[in-house]
Amino acid sequence: MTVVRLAEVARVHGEGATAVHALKGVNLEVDSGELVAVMGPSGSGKSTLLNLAGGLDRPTSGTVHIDEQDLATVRDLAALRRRSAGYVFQDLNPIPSLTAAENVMLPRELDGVRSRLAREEAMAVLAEIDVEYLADRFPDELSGGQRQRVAIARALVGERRLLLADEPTGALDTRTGDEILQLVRARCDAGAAVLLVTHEPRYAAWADRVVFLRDGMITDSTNVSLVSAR
Amino acid sequence: MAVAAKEVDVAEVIRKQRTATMRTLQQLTRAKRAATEGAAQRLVLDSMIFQAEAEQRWLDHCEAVLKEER
Repeated sequence: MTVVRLAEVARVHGEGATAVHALKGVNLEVDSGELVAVMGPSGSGKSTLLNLAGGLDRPTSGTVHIDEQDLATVRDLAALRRRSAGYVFQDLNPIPSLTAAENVMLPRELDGVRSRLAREEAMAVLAEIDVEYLADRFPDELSGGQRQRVAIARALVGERRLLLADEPTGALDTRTGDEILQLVRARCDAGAAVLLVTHEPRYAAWADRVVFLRDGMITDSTNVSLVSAR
Repeated sequence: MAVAAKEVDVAEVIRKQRTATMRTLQQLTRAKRAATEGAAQRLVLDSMIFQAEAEQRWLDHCEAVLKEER
């Protein structure tokens, strides 16, 4: 089942001679249980693609569907984002004045879920990724890898089946980065749809499919059968 | 070779090789996930992953340099 679908999506920033065509007619689908990685150099449109897929930005033309809902017809986009999609960014660390558990609870509480139930859900997702022992720690008491694990827990709490990750391994060392990808992969194998933006080939390789973006266009994808490199 | 040869679409050669190298990297990553024979096996696979990753980076570098020179 397709969780997110982009059809002929274009995004233009600015107008006239100074217009920047960040994306040009992109088509992309991510199914439940599928991990798709997007690779490309700086300025190729990777983050724009992710922002559009998650409803953080609107396309200039084309359509974006999440769970068969056309985002152009959704009145409360913020509510849909909270319910359907979770985000993990390199720089979007947990809120420093809240504990790990409170950070994970936050999107559910914003959705009107009672505090007690939100905490139960947060503890369940923290336990699922083996970091329940971090629940009462504040972000500045966590390592970079632990913070990213909490960010992933926050992105997955509730019934969200779409995970959007922009360079989630950031400045982490190779081993910790591998652990984060292992976690993302496990969530994907459990049914989540994941769209991962990275410039690191070793992390993109965890994906079922890797698409290459150049100048706002998808130029290639690994799901087309070709002769192996070796 | 593609750069030195005449009438070769170098960008296309890079594109095809990059996709093929990424497929190799995916296969190696799957093999590493499925590895059950201990650290020695994982480290050998790690070595192959680092080599494929280096090739991928080099191809990106080739593309950037040739784009500048065009």
